[in-house]
Order: sequence, then structure tokens, then C-alpha cells
Amino acid sequence: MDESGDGLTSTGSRTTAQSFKVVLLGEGCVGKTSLVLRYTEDKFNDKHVSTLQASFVKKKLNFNGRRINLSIWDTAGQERFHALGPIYYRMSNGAILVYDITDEDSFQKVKNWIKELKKMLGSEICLVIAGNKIDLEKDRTVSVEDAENYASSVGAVHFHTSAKMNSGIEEVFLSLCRLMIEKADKQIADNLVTLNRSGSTRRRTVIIDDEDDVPSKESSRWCCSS
Amino acid sequence: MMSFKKGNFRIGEAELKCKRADGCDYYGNPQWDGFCSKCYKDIQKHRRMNASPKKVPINKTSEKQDFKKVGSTEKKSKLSYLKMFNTIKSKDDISEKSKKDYDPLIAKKLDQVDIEYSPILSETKSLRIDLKKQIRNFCQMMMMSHLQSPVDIQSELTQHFYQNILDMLNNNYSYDELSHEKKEQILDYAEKYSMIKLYKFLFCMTLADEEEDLAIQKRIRQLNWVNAKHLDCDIDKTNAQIIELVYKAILELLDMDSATAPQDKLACVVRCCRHIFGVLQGGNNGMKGPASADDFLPVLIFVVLKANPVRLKSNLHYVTRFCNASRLMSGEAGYYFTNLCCAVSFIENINAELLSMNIEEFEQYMNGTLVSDTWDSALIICEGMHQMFEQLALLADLKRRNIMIVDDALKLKNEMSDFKDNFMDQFAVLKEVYTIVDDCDETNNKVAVSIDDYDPLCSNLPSRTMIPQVIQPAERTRTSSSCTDVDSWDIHSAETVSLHSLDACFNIPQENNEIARSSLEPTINVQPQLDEIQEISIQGWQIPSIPCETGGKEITNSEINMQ
Repeated sequence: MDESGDGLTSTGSRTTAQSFKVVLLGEGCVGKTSLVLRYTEDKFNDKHVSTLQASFVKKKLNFNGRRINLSIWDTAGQERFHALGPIYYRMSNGAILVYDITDEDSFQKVKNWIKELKKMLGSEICLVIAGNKIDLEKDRTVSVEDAENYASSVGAVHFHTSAKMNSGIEEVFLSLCRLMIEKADKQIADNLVTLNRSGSTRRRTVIIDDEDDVPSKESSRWCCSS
Repeated sequence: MMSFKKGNFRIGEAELKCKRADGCDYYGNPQWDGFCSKCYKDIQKHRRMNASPKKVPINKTSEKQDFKKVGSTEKKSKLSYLKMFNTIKSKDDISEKSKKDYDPLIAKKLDQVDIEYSPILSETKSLRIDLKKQIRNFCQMMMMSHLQSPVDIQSELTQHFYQNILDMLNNNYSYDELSHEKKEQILDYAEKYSMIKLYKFLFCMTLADEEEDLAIQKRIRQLNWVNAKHLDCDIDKTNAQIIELVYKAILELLDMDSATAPQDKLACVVRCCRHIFGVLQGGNNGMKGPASADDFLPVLIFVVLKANPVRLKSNLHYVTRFCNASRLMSGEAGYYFTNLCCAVSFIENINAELLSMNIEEFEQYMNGTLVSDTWDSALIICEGMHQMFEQLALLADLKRRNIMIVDDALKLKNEMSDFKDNFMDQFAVLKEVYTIVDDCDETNNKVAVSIDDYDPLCSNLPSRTMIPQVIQPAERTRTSSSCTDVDSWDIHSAETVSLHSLDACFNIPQENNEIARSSLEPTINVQPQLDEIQEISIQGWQIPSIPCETGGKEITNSEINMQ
């Protein structure tokens, strides 16, 4: 942690907040929007007009004394927009994959998303899977065991949430934050010498081209891309 | 270059010599347009002095790499000079370039940017100078390299430039007190300024971009039959407010092409998307909850299809390449821009499956054989509806105003009748009072009339006809004027005007001349009036003068005493 702290000062980020981009993926009607609204405004009923939109939300939070700016990007979940996924989740630090526990199809979708994410971004992205609508436990079709086994097999953290009863949502975002911070710190430690740009976003955009092998070192990828 | 090199072995010595007409003995160099170093320098100097319009065409026709090398040699030589000289010289270069490459419109835009950000820039002393220097160097570099280096490198260079400025702000101690937000604004300024300046070089720079623009435009034109239903977005076409918002969103999207700086283009996208959210909210009379991406993207696609913006792809490429990457990665503008990219990507890949219709139908639509409910006709309908709703609104307004006028008229009528009643009441009361008064008056009048005939005062009245006589008027004026003049003489003996009149008065009886008297008459007649005025002024001058003086003396005395 101390090492990474030094790295942060070199890019001038210690005084300023770290910002992370989080994408919300999931089929339509699984409750992505409700989840975000519950987290950012603690509201469930969607009959309020105060918020114009819930597709792009910013949230500031304090995590172990570090200031974090989360920008949460909602994505269109309809099947027809599935191919647009990569445009949404490139350059993102984390992804929350939402499925409906009463809908087996939505869980299959999550599996597809994860496969794609792994292919495109490798281990660069932090993954959290959220089984939403646990208030409808009696209609459950996706078994807890299946979901959790799958999550651990792909290196994701699994949570059960309910936007209606406001349970498990805070945990989803906090755990994702922890993962993203750890990843960012590790990256900074890795690139302490070579890092000369805080964003390093450009590199990642180029990386998408070589999708098959997933190199873990930033520098090696940089070489082959240019 | 290669062919030139090959030919190099065959040409004689004369051709290798300096190209100057009068025969310079030194060898020339292709880097210096075939002149020797001295002659080239002279020519360059000459050109700069005249600011001749020849320079740019020559550079463009000569090989690009030569130009670059010339630039670098110039730079090297500059470095050896004093630093001050260096900046001045490069400034000259820039201004010289700007004369040919920039139209006054860009200069005006740059001035506007300067004005907009001047409060921030003037906060720290050296900031403006530092920034200007960085921007100048960057622009110069980009202008020199814009023809030869590929787009990716240019984009990379631009991102490096942003990073350099950020580093400068973060690492320089003189900027420590600036807040994070201010640093962002300064970075904004650098981005805006340099991008407006370089817009001509960076926007739509390759043929491929142009082709893509035309392709997407053709594609959208082909898809003109796609309507809101195909995309599963419910836009209430009968609601005037919503149609208005759709039109606004389209206009904003069309505006994107006219903006120059990347952030201005992004601002257009943001405004467009805000209108779309307005559409989504207004869809159910504002009762709908916050719109999610599920609802938003289809409407955005619909708007892009309807707008068919010019040079859409070029605009998207320009923003992705030259906008500050951190802005695109996070932030609202970045999100909307990503959505726009998604929409364009969707349009490019649109097929029967994506629109949930069978392939044959889709093909027929695309071939133009099936033209039911075309978007064009829908547009016309929309236009007609738009006008109709505008007129309906106008009518409603007129109706409201008419009702107001009728109400006012009724009120006025009531007021008038009230006033009339009131008036009649008062009149009745007054009438009662005045009948008594009238009675009194009548008796008085009767008495007066009866007395009038015997009034002794009336007996003094002049006779009905007055017969003018020769001597009478002269005598009358003489006596009257002499009277007044004597009065004035008594009171103001020192007055010259009255002396005149006195002379006149005394002269008249002495001379006893009719003509002289008649000639003097006007002055005599005017005289009393003048005296009346001067009476007051002389009195006013005489009376207060004494107390004033004494008062003034008193004050000065008291002042002296005080002192």
C-alpha cells in the first residue's frame, strides 16, 4: 500500500480522487437501473421525477481514507444490442453483471458476457456478479450453488441482492471498489518505472485488437500493439 | 526521393552547384531548394521580410521531408541564439503561417476562447506564458508533421501534449495552489485552443474518413423507412411537446459538425442526449421513472437515423483521436459519446434480425420495392402535425385572451353601471342641496337685477360713444407719464433711465413741439414699466448690500478672533 501511495504522488493523484469506470451488464428487466438508483439515491419506487436518467450515474465515496469517484455506466441489455458491448466496456475498471434469480436465461446471458469480457479485456477488469430479486426467493430458478460455483470458476465475486428490499447492494459496490483499488495499486507498482501517463487509456484501446492471448504485463502489450 | 538519388550520379557538377542565377561557386543542397546555405538563408530572409505569399506553395510543392528538415535545421540554428530571440522568431513563424493558413473566423474563435478562459489564466503569473509556449510548440510540430505521419501517431502526440500540460501543472511548484478543478479548466483551455487552431489539419484528414462518411450517409438514407416501432421505442407522435424535443435533439446532433473543439462537439452530443431523456420522460406525461440505457439507446438510434448528420464518422473519429482521453473514459460526455458510437455501430450493422422482421421484408425495404410508411412521409406528417399543433396552441392562446377580454368588458360594464348609479345617487343628493342654493341665488339675483338700474356706480361709466379729439390724447399721456416719472425721480434720483425720461418730461413743455412730443411718446410709454423693474433691482441691490458686507466682515472678524 505504501509503495502504491508513492506511485500515486508521482502522478499527482494522492490529493485528487481516483476515478473508476464501472459498467452494468445484464439482460433487460433484470433490475440494473433499480440497483443503481437504490445505491446512488436509496430509492426504489420508480415514480419519482427528480432524476432524469439512471443510465449514467456518478458516485463519490470514501474507501479506507481514499477518495473514489465511481462513474457507473448502464448499458442497453436487449439482445439486439449485444454486439455493442465492447464499445461500452472498453477502458472500464470494473463490471457488475446482473441476473434475475427467477430467470435462468438471464444467468446464461451473464455467462456470455463474462466470456466476452475475458476475451476482450483479460484479467484487467474486476468482475462482480449480482443475483437480483431475492425478494422473489420462492420463484428461484437459478440455484445458489450453481451461481457461486460459476462465479468462483471465473474469478468473480457473487452477491445476492434485492433492490426492492435494499439488501446486498452496498456490499456489491464496496467489494468491487476494493477489487479495483487493489488492481490499480498493483498496476501502478508494476509500472512504477515506465508509467508516464496516469490514464494509460490509449494503450488499452489498442490492445483490444489482439484478443486471443491475454498478457498480464502492460509493457509487453504496448510493444506488440505499436 | 529514390528517383532523385538515382539521378544524382548522372548529373554534372554545374547542376550540383548553387541554383542562384548569378552563379555562386558553392554547392547547392536539395534540403535548401538547391541553394547553398548562404544563398538559402538570404532568400529565406528576403521572403520573411516581404511575407511573400510564395512561401507556402513552394514548401508544399517541394518534397515534404525536405520541409521538415529545413524546419529542424532552422530550429537548430535558432537554439544557438539567445532564448529571447528564439521565441520572437518562432512567433514570427507562427504569425506568418497564420496569415495564410487561418481565416479570420478561426482567429476570432481563438480570441473568444482566450476571453472565456482569461480569468483562470491570469490567476497565476507565469501560467499564460508557459501555456502559450507549449501550445505554440505543439501546434508548430503538428502542422509540420500533419501530412506525413499517420493518424495514430498524431493522436498519440496530442495525448502526450495533454499529459505534458497536466504534468507541468502538477509538478511545477508555482501551480501548487491551483485546485484540481482549475487545473482541469486550464487543460480544457489548452485542448480547446490548440484544437481550434489545428482543426483544419486534423479533421477529416484521410480519404478513408471521407469514404466512411459517405458510406454511413448512404446507409442512413437507405434506412429511411425505419421508424420508431422497428426500434421498439415509443415516441408519442401526437404530443407536440415530445415532437419538439425530438426536433431539438436532431438539431443538436446536426450542430455537432459546425463545432470545432472536441469538447464543443461533445457538448452538442450531451445536449442532444438530454433532449432525448426529456422525450423519454415526457413519454408518459412526465410520470415515467428515470430512463435507463435500455430505453435510451433505441431513441438515440432513431434520432441519428432521422438526423443523418453530415461527416458523422469524421466527427466521431476526430473526437476519439484528439479529445483528452480521460474525458472520454469517464464523465457524462464520455458516456453519451460512447452511446452515439454504439448507435452508429448499430446502424452500420443493422439487419433483419436486429429489427425483428423477416429477411425478405427487410430486403424489399432496402431495395426500395416496399415503401410503406416511409420515414420521409412520416417526416412530412410530423412536419404537418408540428404546424398543426403550433396553430392549435396559437388558437388556444387566442381563445384564452378572448375570454379575458370578454371578462374585462363585463367587468367594465359593471363598473360603468355602478358608477352611473353612484353618480345618480350623488346627483340626487346634490340636487336637493342645490335646489335650496338655487332658490337663494334666484332671490339675490332678483334683488341685484332690481338694484342694478339704480346703481350709482354705473352712472360714472363712460358714455356710449367716444369721439377722438386732436389735443386730448397728448395731454392725457403727458400728465400720466410725468406723474410716474416724478415718482421714480423721487425715489431713485441717481437712475439714468429715469433721468432720460425726466428730460423728456421737462423737454416736452419747454419745446411745445407736436412732432418731438409724438416721437418721444414711445419712450415715455415704456418708461414706467422699466422703472418698475429697476425699482426692485435697485432696492435689492441697495438694501442687502450693507448687511451683506457687514455680515461678511463680521464673519471674517469672528474668524480672525477665532484664529
